[in-house]
Amino acid sequence: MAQAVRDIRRRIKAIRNTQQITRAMQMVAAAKLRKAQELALSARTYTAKLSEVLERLTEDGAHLGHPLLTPRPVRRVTLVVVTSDRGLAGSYNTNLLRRVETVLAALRQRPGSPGADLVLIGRKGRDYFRRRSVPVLRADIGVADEELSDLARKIGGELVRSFNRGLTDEVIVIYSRFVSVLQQRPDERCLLPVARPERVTSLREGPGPGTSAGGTGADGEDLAAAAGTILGRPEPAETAAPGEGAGLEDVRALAEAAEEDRDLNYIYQPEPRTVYSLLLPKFVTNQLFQAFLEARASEQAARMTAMHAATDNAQEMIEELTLTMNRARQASITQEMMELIGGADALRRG
Amino acid sequence: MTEQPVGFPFQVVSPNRVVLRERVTSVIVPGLGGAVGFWAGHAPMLVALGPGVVKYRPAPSGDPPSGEPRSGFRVLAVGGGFFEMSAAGEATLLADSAELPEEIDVERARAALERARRRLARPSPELDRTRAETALQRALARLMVAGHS
Repeated sequence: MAQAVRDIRRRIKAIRNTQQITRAMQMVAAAKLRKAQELALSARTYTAKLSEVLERLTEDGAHLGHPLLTPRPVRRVTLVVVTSDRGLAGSYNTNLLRRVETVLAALRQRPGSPGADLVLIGRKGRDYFRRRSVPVLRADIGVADEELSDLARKIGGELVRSFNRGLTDEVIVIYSRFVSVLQQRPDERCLLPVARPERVTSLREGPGPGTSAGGTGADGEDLAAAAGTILGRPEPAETAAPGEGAGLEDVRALAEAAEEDRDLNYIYQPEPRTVYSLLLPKFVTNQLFQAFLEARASEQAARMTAMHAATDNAQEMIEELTLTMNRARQASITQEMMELIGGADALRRG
Repeated sequence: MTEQPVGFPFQVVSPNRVVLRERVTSVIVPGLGGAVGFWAGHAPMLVALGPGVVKYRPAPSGDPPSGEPRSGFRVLAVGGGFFEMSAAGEATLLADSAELPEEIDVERARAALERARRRLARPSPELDRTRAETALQRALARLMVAGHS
């Protein structure tokens, strides 16, 4: 009996130790979250402004026929996957990687079943794909918060270059969008070709369902809907129809016609097309950077929530075990007393 | 008619943060093709910027800040970007990077300047000339803004 009490006490102590660790981790995550959240939110100002400027330029017709904006038949797709380096963040990475699998499955269903290449950020993503048959172009692990903007610039530049050289026909970034401390949603966004600015505008509205510029519109888990959007993505409506070359010519001619007599809303310096060419790569890089920041904030939020739950669970277990222990102790005392009384009785009677 | 406030709103945002948000009477930005100045009521315009110094004149408010000349220009360093004067008369500078004078790390800027000069003086075949020149200009702008040119 006393043995049982001792065992339970030992277990309570172990759980309490664990609880201390999870509580500390919760607190660390909360502190990091505050920083990451602030970064992600203040970066949204720039991102929104950039989209706004891009949109206005597009209204002025500077975009016509720009290669970075023109969808083409898709043979290869690059997926940029932003996971975390560390675990213990609840279902954060699991959800994200499941989303990646959905996207990959959707790609295989697309006409011509384009091949996929991966660009991985975060150890979890790299480990997951290490043994899978999807080619990995690059993997960056252990990237510090301060290095994110440089990394975005580097990867953004590489992506634009390989898009221009025809090594990839579409680039999708998959990351976890920071909706609130309690909600992070896996989200995918089409980086290249740059989405039509109508789609871009939705960025400005900030958090809320269906605000992704990639045109997901899906509420997170709805796999079928997600698959649908991937499948139905840019079919180059006006360009592809009568053989590519001719289509491009048409667009160029249109652009030139537009160049001549056009009521520009803005004065540009230098001329619109040059400004556009400067702006677009910056836009891609910035979208990537924003995705990184959102992912970091989401990671910390997910970890904080997970560790909070763990701490609560530990507390519950401790309370339950304490109750069991007290009951066991009580039982052993009662039994001892019974034995004593029994013994005394026997003596008296004897 | 209500009385119009003086000047126009001007905001500088970099990818990391909002650097400045202030009412100004005029702004001069380092356009790729040369400096461009703006006053209230300027036509809508979009200017691509190179690295350089942005000058702006804060709009006079009720009481002038103590110890500062009322009409003085203030400066900040940008590493390139875009400046937009919207149809609504609001000015926005989208900077790749932007620093106010007190935020500039003079030592670092000096080192960057030295490095860029050295590279340009003895060009090696693999030198990215444009990049070195941009770095040079960026460092110069920073030093100018910090008042250590």
